[in-house]
Amino acid sequence: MNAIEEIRLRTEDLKRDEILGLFVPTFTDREIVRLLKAASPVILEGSRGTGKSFLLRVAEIELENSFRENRVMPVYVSFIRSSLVHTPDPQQFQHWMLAKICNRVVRALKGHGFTAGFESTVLSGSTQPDQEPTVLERLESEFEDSYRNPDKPIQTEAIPTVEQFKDAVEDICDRNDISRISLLFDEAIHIFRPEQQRQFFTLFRDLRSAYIGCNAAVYPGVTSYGDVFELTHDATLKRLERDMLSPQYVENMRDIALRQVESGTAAAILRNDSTFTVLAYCVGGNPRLLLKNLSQCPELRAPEVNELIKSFYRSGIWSEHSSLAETYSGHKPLIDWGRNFIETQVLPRLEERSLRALKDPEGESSCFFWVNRDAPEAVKHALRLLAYTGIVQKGEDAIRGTRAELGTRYTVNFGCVLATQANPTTVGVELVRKLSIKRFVEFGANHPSYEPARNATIHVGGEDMLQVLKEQLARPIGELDLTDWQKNHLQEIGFSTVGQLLKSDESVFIEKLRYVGPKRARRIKNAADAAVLEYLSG
Amino acid sequence: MDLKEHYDKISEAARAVRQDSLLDSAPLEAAHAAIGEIRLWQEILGARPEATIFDQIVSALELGLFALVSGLYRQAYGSLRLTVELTAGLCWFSTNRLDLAEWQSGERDLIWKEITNEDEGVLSPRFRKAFFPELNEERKYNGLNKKLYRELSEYVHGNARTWAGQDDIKYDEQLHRAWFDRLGTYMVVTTVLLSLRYLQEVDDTAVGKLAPYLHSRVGHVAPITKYLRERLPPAPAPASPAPASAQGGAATPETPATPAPTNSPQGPD
Repeated sequence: MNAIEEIRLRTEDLKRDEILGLFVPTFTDREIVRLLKAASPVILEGSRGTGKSFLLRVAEIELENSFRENRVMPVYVSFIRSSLVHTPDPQQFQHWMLAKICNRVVRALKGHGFTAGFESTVLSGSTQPDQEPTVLERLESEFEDSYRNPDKPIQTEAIPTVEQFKDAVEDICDRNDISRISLLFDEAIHIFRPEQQRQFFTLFRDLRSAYIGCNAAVYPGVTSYGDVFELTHDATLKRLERDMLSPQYVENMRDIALRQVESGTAAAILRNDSTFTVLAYCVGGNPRLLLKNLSQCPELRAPEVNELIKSFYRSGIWSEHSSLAETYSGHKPLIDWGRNFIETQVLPRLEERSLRALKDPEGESSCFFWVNRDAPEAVKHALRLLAYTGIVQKGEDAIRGTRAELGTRYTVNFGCVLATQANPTTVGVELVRKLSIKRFVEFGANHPSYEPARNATIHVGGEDMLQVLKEQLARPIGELDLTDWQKNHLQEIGFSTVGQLLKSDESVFIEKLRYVGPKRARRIKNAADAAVLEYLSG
Repeated sequence: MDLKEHYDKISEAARAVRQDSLLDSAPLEAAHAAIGEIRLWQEILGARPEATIFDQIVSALELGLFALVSGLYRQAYGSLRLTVELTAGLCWFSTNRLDLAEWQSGERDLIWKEITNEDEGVLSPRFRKAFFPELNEERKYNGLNKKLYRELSEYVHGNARTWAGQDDIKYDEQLHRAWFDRLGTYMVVTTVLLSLRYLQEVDDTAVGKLAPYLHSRVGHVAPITKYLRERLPPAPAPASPAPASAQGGAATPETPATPAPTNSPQGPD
């Protein structure tokens, strides 16, 4: 028998009917879901593990549940496979994305039992829309397999233009009394493929119509919006952040954890409230990070949590950031500079402030820093990459520093700040209580620490992405963001590289995993797929 | 088939497991101390009709322990599940005399979903408002109780993940320890549950007897410690050592929950 349960780290690991049961909405979450369900386009930005996919799924399910009354049909489309698309076609992303959108729309229509009309030939790519797979489904697969044979052209004539797609949707909506199709794009952009970003935002802008609503979840750090898309005009940007200073913050994080962990850890959370509170602050509002930390010290004993904070937030949390430097060697100087900047410039000064705050009853602590808006572009790009991996969060622009100059405020992950303390669980709550958003360490337009970044050669978009992909596929599965429990099972089946896992078939999991039922085997396969695709996307 | 030989063989395997199981006696001693706590509640509530269920609870716990040290893990987990069910049932019947009589005469089932219902069950706001209005953490513990029951049920129903290994009789340290962890969780939930239902109804002597166990098990539940402080006179001398406790269930309790920060964020300069 086996007493170990897996923690599910990603929304992709959850069954549809589990999602609403695990939803612990903050006021902001509810507001975001409301906006996602409305007609105006929303770009939802957040680092990995902050819950973007989860909120998209909640919006999708709630729209489904209210379809009879509101007649808004949600269609969830994930572009997480964009790293696999490598063809000679200069418009490859637009073609692939349109094919994918058509396929998902057709599937959603079938799910609702709507009969196909003449427009189904547009959405299927052929005059025989009932054949399976449809032409567009086959093309979608071809694009996603193209990394194996990147020189082979793909025939894209069957893919509709944006205008043809919009017309088809309009006809479908009119005929079936659908007021709008709400497209929910997940993993909408590949952070290291500016070309994909340009084509996505152009498509996002062009798709808008009275019958189509567009929403997208993206990571921080977009560099290319293309020529026609303007963020301030064409969408509402919502940053997915949980405000640590909100009185409900800890309660909210506790509820999220209690719904996911097993009874022993749940009891430990209730018993060791102050230790849990410190851990909840350390993760800076990132539920996935919280679940991972809890899986590492499920009994929440203070000495173990202290050790975890000091080891994870000093080195572990950097592993994803540093592995980016290995994968995208063109960005290495900036990625390395970013880590160096935080570790040698920002954290020591925040630590000084923390120590003063602990000594002085009136003292204020900080986990904020400010960078002048005229800082070099290379510095800003390095900070974008830090935001992508969740080490920092970009706050408000146009904040005034001490000399009335304007700049951007950033928040460093509170765990990194606390890890500089000898006894994090003892001082953590006091430091949070004394946090003041007005206290930030400042870096002017020409701070000496910028020099190495200023001199770094940046190859934004200049990477050989196919070569990057090939190297990633050869990496061991140990690098994937999965629990030890899941990795053990993958090794049991015999997978050793990311590439093997990408090509794997579900039946292998069901046949080869011992003492794991088909449902759970499928769940492991899904978790592995999501981790592989996430790994490949950055 | 030689039945005697067959059962001797099983018995011998169980005996070998027992030897390994008893090498570390601390968790077992803590489990027996936990049974002592349940007996104390029984002694205090003995006059109530539903208190007879304590005998069944203790019996399920003791047989569960025996199954555990004998390597009959599935049975041990099943027994613990019965314990969880009966304890919630006891509190449920305390307000449903007719249901109790029907259950005792075999005319009524104990329905888990009903007795742990979020609005009407034994750890619901309705119960709390009636018996311990200040103990406003009932929902958390109801969630914990249901989670525990669901996990234990996996062993009863033989869910796939509980079959990782030949189900033969041999010592399994992981399963052995995990059972005590779950017993610890059971004791925390049970202490909250029985406190919620009965603490304000029993006399001062009983509260005095229970107090050390309550501090040890649920010292982190602020409304209970506050209630004890108000109800009991200050201790005259340094406290004697805390009672033994089930492993995982009552590690040194921490200081009560620290309130969330109250300083609201300042706006930009």
